[in-house]
Amino acid sequence: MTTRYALTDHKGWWIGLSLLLLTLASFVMWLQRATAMTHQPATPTLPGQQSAASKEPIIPLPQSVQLDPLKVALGGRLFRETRLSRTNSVSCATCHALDQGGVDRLRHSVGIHNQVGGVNAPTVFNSGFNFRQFWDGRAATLEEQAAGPITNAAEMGSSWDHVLAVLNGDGSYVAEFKSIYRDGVQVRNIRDAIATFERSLITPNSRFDRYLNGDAKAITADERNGYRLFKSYGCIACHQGINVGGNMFQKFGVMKDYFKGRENVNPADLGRFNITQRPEDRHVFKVPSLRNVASTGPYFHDGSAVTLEQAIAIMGQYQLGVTIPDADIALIAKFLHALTGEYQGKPL
Amino acid sequence: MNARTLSFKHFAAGIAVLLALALLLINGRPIDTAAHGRVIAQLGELNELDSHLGETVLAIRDGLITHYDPLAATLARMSVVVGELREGEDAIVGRGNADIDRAWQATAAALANKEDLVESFKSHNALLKNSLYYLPLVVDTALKQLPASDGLRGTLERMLREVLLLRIRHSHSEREEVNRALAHLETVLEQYAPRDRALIERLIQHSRNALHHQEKTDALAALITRGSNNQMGHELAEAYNRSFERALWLTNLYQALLSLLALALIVYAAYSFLRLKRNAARLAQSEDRYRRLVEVSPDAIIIDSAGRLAYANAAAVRLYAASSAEELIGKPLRDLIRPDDHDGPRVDGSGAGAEVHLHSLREQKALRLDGKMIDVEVVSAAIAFEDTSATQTVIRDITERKKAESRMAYLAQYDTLTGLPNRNLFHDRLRVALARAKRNQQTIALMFIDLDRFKEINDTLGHSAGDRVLSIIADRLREHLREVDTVARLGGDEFTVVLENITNTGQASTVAAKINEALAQPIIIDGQEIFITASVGIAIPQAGEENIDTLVKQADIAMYQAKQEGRNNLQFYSPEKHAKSSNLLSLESALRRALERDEFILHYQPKVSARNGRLAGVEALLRWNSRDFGMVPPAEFIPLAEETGLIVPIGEWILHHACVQAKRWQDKHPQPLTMAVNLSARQFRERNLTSTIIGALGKSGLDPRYLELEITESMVMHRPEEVVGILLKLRQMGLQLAIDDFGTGYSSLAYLKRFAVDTLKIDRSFVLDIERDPDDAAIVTAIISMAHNLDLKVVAEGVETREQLGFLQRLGCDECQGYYFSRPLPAHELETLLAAPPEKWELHRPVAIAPLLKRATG
Repeated sequence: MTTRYALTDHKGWWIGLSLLLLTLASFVMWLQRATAMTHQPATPTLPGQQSAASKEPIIPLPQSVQLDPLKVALGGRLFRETRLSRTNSVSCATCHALDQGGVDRLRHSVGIHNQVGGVNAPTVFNSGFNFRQFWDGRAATLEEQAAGPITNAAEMGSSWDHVLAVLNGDGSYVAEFKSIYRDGVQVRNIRDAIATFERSLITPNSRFDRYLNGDAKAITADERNGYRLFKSYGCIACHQGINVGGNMFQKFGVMKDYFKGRENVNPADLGRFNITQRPEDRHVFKVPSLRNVASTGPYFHDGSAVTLEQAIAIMGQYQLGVTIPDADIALIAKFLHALTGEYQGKPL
Repeated sequence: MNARTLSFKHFAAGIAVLLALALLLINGRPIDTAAHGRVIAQLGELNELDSHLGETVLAIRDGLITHYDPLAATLARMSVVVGELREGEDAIVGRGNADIDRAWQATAAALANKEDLVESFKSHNALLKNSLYYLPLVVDTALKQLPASDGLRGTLERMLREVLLLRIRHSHSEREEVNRALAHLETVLEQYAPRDRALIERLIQHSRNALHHQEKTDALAALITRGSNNQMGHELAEAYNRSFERALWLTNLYQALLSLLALALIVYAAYSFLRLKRNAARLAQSEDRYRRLVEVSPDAIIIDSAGRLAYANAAAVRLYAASSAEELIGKPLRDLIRPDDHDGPRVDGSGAGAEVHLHSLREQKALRLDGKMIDVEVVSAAIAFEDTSATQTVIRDITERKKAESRMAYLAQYDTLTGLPNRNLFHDRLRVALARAKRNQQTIALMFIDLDRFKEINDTLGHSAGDRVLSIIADRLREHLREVDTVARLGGDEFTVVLENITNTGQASTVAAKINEALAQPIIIDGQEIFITASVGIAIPQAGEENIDTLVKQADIAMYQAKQEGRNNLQFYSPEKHAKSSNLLSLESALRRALERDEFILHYQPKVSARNGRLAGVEALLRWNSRDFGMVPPAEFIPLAEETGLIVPIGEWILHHACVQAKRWQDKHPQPLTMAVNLSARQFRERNLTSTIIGALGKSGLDPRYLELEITESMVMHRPEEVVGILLKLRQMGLQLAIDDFGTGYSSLAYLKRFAVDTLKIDRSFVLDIERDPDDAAIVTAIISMAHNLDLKVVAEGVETREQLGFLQRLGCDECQGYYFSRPLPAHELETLLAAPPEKWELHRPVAIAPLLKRATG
């Protein structure tokens, strides 16, 4: 008769399992410690250190920006997608026509059902270099901004539910989203795609940028004179940086009340006050970029200035407290024309 | 097999340990140090960004940087970093940490505040620059426009200088200087032409603007830079560090607990292992113990798996007459164990029903390898054998027991002496016969055969002779009956016969007659011829009678009747006769109580001297005056007393009373009087006979010379050697001995000499016809003369007439006893006789015996 004695009865089984778990846990802990050792805190890169070579307050645009081409493509498609609006009639491109300087060249934009908006549409070009979006700067990022017009009743009059339904109903969109984003069609992803596309909308190679980059002959003497006047009159105090503006707020009517005696002062004229409700923010707007300004009229948040010259004169009067002579205005206007760049190799 | 049936307790404990492990593993998992590093880096970056922001602001104020992109970028980056910090901390210290939430909110608020300050700074700085760009232009225009002699020119130049210097020095005194200059300008403003006045006013406005925005810008820059002194994120860093320390502490705690648990588990594992090892050793010992038990078991033990033999111990090898266990292993179980009968459960263990009976002991057959089938007793138990279910069966050889059992069964049913069915089997057979007869619409006859006077054979020839007689009788009965009939011996000399398939009583009586005839043939034992007769009672069941007890009783009664009718005959049972025999039965019970009820009395029959007519002695005779039956004749109750053994205590009683009476009479009447007492054969065989006699004599004080014991011829013929000893002993005590009923037995006178008796009592049957029957006269004459030759006294019994007396006198008979003199008398009557003997006892006229003798010989 042979009898085998198993050393692993039920108690042994439990103990074995427990020890196995412990071993695994120890291994995992060791691994985590090991990775922790290799981690080195990244040295922060501090932005905007002005190079010593150029003391100019205006900085040339880069030739390109690093972006995911698939996102750019999808964003571009969404940008032109009229179905995102309630009436299938309005897209982003309706008011920000890329062949018209990124604007509609209307004093106030026209949304669905021909509704007229409250402000002049700013250009979408180089908007990625703006420190905030909208005239009142209420959006910190392009992602935030993208949602605005879509859901604005007067603009596209749509809703995210509508947008999601439209995109999910279109197999090509679903596939395209899926190829980029793991979670497919999502509000977050739609914003990301549109914002990415907008960041791609840069206009390098303006003659003035070429001048800044060392090509002394890129601009004319008048233009150079205009630039000098632009600086000496004090325009440069606000319109500086890479986007020649777009990096600060300023009150409209510093030296003289612009809105005084004007009829129909509407809520949009209150500017940043609408956001902060602080008295000192009354009539405070984001300083607009002057890049491609020659192509993006009419001017100001209310589109009240039709020509550059008008706009320069008003600026001189209300912001600088000076009446700029016409000759100087002409020269400054010439300088502003030199700020017009190229989009996809073509001048705006 | 415990491992499979995991007990709930162990299961719960296991789950608890696993839960504890999981809990500790989750809580004790190391803090994500990468995330921790990230947070530290981010906090550092935030700090650096903040410093950088301050530096940038100062650089812008001082005109070292001429655009605001760095500020916007720094703030944007700070915003991102603060957002990331929020996520990063969650990854480490978990959500809902109020401390961190508060700090984070404070940081977010500080950032928002800083943004506001920076925005404000930008705006004011832009306006300051605006004025500073424009002021020189205006001053220049004014200097061109104003006459060279104007005293204001110097003021303007000085003021411009001060304003521009203010940009560099930020000094209070310059500011005062400018303010004084502006105040001066305002006072002199009226003196100038409108064109100049407008110019000066613009100049004053821009200067004041510059002063105002200069002041604002300085204040804002101071605020921004002051705030940048590690303010930003400091609180957050502290909160984070606190939380991190706490998380670290907790993690360490859990890891310590985990280590403890692990240690405990390891210790437990070691303990369990040791215990398992110890248990294994114990198990091995236990296994060894039981294996040896199985191996050396005298009972065969086999294990079968799926109906095939897997193990056989040495006893099994022996039981199956195999040469080795290997020869048995692999054989199908059904070839080795067969059911004892077809209803019995099979032992192959494969059937579902087999389980039920598995543990019960049952008898089966074992088929040995040599083909011999033996009786075995089998008990099985389900066990596990080499990981499969199997059956262990213990097989015990019960051949011997079976033999003994059948022997017992035989003994229980057969009489060993004759080989005939005994009472038990007889009852069974009778029952079966009765049932069969009823079925076949026939009847049966039940015979009770009782040998007559068989007791005497035992008494005289001994028990072994009696046994041989019974054997021979049994053979004869068997010979003369059909196969279908049953002969049984109920015990003693009682036989029964069940006759089957009979239709009338005639058949039964024919068979009975045949039996009687067969039995009548003499039987020779030790050269001695013995004649046996039997009394046969026959009972035939009445219609509808099924009770065998009743039938047996009836046959018994009929047999008793046959005995009553003088033996050697047969009687059919009839209800009329029943009454009488039931009397007999109740007589016996009455007899049993007679002594205690003091129902016995002694009568005394005188013995008279034939020579002088004097009272020579008396014979004590027992009388029974039954309360239930009145006076019962001795012929009826004495045999009953002998049969039942009651004769022993009764005999004792007689001896005692007779001695007492004799003594009393002797005391009263001086003449010597012999008291004769009959001894029964049974009494004679009692070992304590002499002590009983001594006791009776001692108590009464009777001289032994006057006690005479009467014994029968047959009593002395049985085992004569022993008897001689007893008689001699009695003689030595001084007793007198008499042979009673002499002449009826088989004894010869020559024997008597050896027995040392004193007296012969001639049986009454010789005396009865002594005058008329010459044979009797001759016998009596011979007896008397021989007795006298042997010096024995002769007493004649049953003397009823004077002629008989005379005859006996002439022959020289010594004493006479009989109705001629007196019937047996109660004690008090005899007493009167003692006082005055009757006349007829005067034997003066002796009777001539010669003619009688002549007649007897002629």
